[in-house]
Amino acid sequence: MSESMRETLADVTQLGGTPNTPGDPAGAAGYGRPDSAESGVDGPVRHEEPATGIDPVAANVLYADHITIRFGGLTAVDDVSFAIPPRSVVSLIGPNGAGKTTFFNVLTGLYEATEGAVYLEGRDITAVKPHKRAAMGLARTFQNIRLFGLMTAEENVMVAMHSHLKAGVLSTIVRTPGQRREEREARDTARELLDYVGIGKTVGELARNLSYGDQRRLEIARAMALRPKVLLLDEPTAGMNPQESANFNDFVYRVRDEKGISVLLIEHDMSVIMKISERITVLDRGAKIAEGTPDDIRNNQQVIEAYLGKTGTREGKRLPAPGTTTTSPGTGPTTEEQA
Amino acid sequence: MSAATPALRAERSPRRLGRFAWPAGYVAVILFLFFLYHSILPSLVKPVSAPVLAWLPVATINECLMWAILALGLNVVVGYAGLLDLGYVAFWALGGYTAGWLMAFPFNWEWDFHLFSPVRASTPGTHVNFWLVCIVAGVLCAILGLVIGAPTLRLRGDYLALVTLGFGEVITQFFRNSNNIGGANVANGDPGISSIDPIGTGPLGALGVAPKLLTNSAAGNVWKILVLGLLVGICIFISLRIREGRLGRAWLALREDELAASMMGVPLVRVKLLAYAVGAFFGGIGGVANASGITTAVSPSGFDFGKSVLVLLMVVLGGMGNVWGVTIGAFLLSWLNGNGLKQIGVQIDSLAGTNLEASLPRYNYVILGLLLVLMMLFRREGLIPESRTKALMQMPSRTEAESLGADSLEAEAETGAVEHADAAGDARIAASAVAMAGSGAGAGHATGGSARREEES
Amino acid sequence: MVYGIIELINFAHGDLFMLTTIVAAGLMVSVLGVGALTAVSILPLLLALVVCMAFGGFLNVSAEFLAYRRLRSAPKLAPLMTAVGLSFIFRGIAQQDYVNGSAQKNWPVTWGGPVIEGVFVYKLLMVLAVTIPLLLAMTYIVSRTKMGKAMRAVAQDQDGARLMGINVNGTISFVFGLGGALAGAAGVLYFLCQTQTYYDTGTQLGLIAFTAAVLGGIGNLTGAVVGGLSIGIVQAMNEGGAYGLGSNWSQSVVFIILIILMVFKPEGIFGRPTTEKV
Repeated sequence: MSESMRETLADVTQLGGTPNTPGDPAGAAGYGRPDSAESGVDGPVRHEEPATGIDPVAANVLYADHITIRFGGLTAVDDVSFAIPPRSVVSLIGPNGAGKTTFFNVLTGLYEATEGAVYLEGRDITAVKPHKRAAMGLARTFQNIRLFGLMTAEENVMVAMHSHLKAGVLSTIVRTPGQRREEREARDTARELLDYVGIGKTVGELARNLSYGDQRRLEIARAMALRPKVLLLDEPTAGMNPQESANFNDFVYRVRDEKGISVLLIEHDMSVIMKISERITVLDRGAKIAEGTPDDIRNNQQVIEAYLGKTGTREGKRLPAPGTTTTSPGTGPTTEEQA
Repeated sequence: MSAATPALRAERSPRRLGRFAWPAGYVAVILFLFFLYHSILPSLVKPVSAPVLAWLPVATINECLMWAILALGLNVVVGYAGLLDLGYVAFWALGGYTAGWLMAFPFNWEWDFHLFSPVRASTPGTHVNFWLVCIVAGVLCAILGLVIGAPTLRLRGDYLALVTLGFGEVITQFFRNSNNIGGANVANGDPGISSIDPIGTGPLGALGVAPKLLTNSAAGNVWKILVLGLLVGICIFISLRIREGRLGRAWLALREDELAASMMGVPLVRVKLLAYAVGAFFGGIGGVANASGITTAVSPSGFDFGKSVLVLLMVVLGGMGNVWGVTIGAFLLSWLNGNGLKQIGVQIDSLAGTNLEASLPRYNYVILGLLLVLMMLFRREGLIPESRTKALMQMPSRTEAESLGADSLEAEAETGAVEHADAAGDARIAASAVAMAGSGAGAGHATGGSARREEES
Repeated sequence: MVYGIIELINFAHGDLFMLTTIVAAGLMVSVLGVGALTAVSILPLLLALVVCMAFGGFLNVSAEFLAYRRLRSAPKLAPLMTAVGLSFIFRGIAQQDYVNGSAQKNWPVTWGGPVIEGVFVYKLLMVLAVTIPLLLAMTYIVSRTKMGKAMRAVAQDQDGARLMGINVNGTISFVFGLGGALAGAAGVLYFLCQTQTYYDTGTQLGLIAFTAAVLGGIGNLTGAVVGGLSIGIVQAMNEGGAYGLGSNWSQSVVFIILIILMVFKPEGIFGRPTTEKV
């Protein structure tokens, strides 16, 4: 495994091929279009910069290197590399069945990748267990809120601080001054975080008694208690109304700018994705079919086909309806999105 | 932030005072019981004191206290951390045998070893101070707890219960065969170890206030109330303190949602093992207390699966996770099991002329089992549940898939979709979709766009 | 089987079995006066089988109806404790003097016929003659009959089965009845082979049975048979063989096997490896 890893690294840092060169069917469409150069972003964001030889492992907060996941004879994720730059907001989308959740679970450590490696701030965490990754700064929220319903909001947040607290059993029993101070500080930090996400009033309430919106915020506060470098949000806006979504967008920017945390969103809600992502990666049938700015993705034929091509039973929201989003310069005066 | 802290402190004080209610009550009860048997009852007239002594003989009080120690230990494992341990009797046994090794004259060993022991210096054998032995037994049992806990870390509910039950049986069998472990006599096998030292009273004994050695005499038994009450108090204290700290929070989180806890940085292995260790520690203390204070002997026949279930029942009946409920549950059940049924039998006999005094106690296991079933059906959370236990026991159980979160369901759906992906079919659908949208401006641009792209590449 | 359908390890199963041994003993010796076992004993044997299977089935179905049914949606702890409680009740009843008493009770039943290497041939024949048809019948029921299909459906997805019109409660009762009946048959065989009854037999054997089931893969019928045979062989080797530790340690040996299984291969020989579960 390390053998191929070394080779891959060598590949990547040289001027050699990257998955996004023309000739790679997964990346061809939507890339290198001259239009995108005028869309206000420095061209399509590539996770490898072959010309300058930047090592993506070191340059990114989280880097997944050629991840392949096979279950028996089935390939759920096929050679996907994925980078999260520091202080950024990126998204991962794809129709149901695309492999996003499986890939996500490899990032967090729940699943083991059949091939490939994951790096967190330059350290190889491929073999690191989930709780250790959390302690190292990889935080996540859950799609179906998984709070500790029978603990108060404050306690929920404090649980996540477990790996950062030091008190041992004996000092807890005896309540040494150090332990008491630690607990006090932890409680203060918890309240600060609850304030930060906007539910400061619910400190002593049982998590299961909170409103849905507050519960979502509590999940984020709890994740942030891990002092994360990167925050993975799994469908955070499910069930939110437009106002809540707008608040959420602002909140994500605050997290990125004020706390310096990178955020990865896995979402079905296109409006949120389009609005706040710096870069969107699209998976379909386990492979990466597109990666770029929201505009790149919006106009990407393969992405459109990927979504439209599936029968819509478990389909999430599709690309915005005609007329609901602004176009970007260089793509023509008329709205061009598909219904 | 400092502006907030004075407000917090004010908020806490009324709560703080309320927090002393239960502990104060406990101390009061123990002291009351002590004086009851020490001074009050002997000075009362026979017709008044006799029924009290019949229903609650001192020996029974001591037994109740000893069982409370065990119940508190199991409470840590089952009530706090949610790990179903059906072999708790193993720790009790090991504690008892530690007392046997360190406070008696087993197997005619040749040496003489005394350490702060109140026993006469000329007595042969090993004689270590009761309190020291408690600590040693606690530590040994904590190690055993780690050994028992380690293989069970990945097991859930039923499997965990059965494996721990198995451990209990194996340990018991070990002690039963212990007269011949590879040729050596480790613990004397079936007969066990007898003549274990009683508890010494050190300074109090020297002053003449209390008897020097707390044997099973009337005076000794009364003072044992204080000793055992102190031990129970220590266990309660330790439980509560740990519960308030980060380990207690980790246990609660673990009990509710193991996966989420682990994803939030809680090291499951360490936290679970600590639960076993702490619980086992109490079990060791209980074992020593039993061997030295109540039975003055230890033998394998005293440890069986039934005893494990009895302790579990105490925890469940009292209210899992609530130290006070568990203590009360322990008192109630050990009284019922020991003396209570007999007394109830006596009462009914005098009313109905039956002979239940002899036969009712023989039904103790049936009654206990019935009690367990009824509690599960009608009041799962126990008598004085911890506030969360009630909710936890009413929640419908998470299915396997749910316990992994929608993650696994979705991942399965994804792999299923990939498995059944039909590229040709999808292409056909896409083509027809494009054709359908052909009437809209979008289609034109899309096809125009793709045409353009074809030109480029 | 019960585990497969409602994911409940029926703790009390062993003790149910123990009760059937007592019923078998009482019926055959006290009522029918069986003493020495000869070919004539086939009739009482059949009668005992019928009675005990009915008894076992009835008891199990009642337990399900009275206790487990209400707890189907409760957290796992509740039905487990209930099973433990039932186990206690069964043991307690067995310990009463008018039932069996607290000590092991030996019955005056003897075996005749040829003996090969210490094994009574008739004993072996009887066991085979009862076990094999029963197992075949079980396999047939599970795989070929409508009820068997219903059982499998309920085991996989209770709600789905209900929506398809399957009487879930009835199916579960049937499974309990079947399991109880098997326990009854086992009880008769056990009594005849060991000619003794003891209130603790159920728990002891239950542990061994559980190990056998795990060894073969929980929920898998063939696995259970293979597991049972394997454990039996291990026990025999332990008690008689050159490297065995003697019958004193049999339980521990079996249990150590269980632990090793649990840690390294919880799905057993025939089970499907479940990834993040057990």
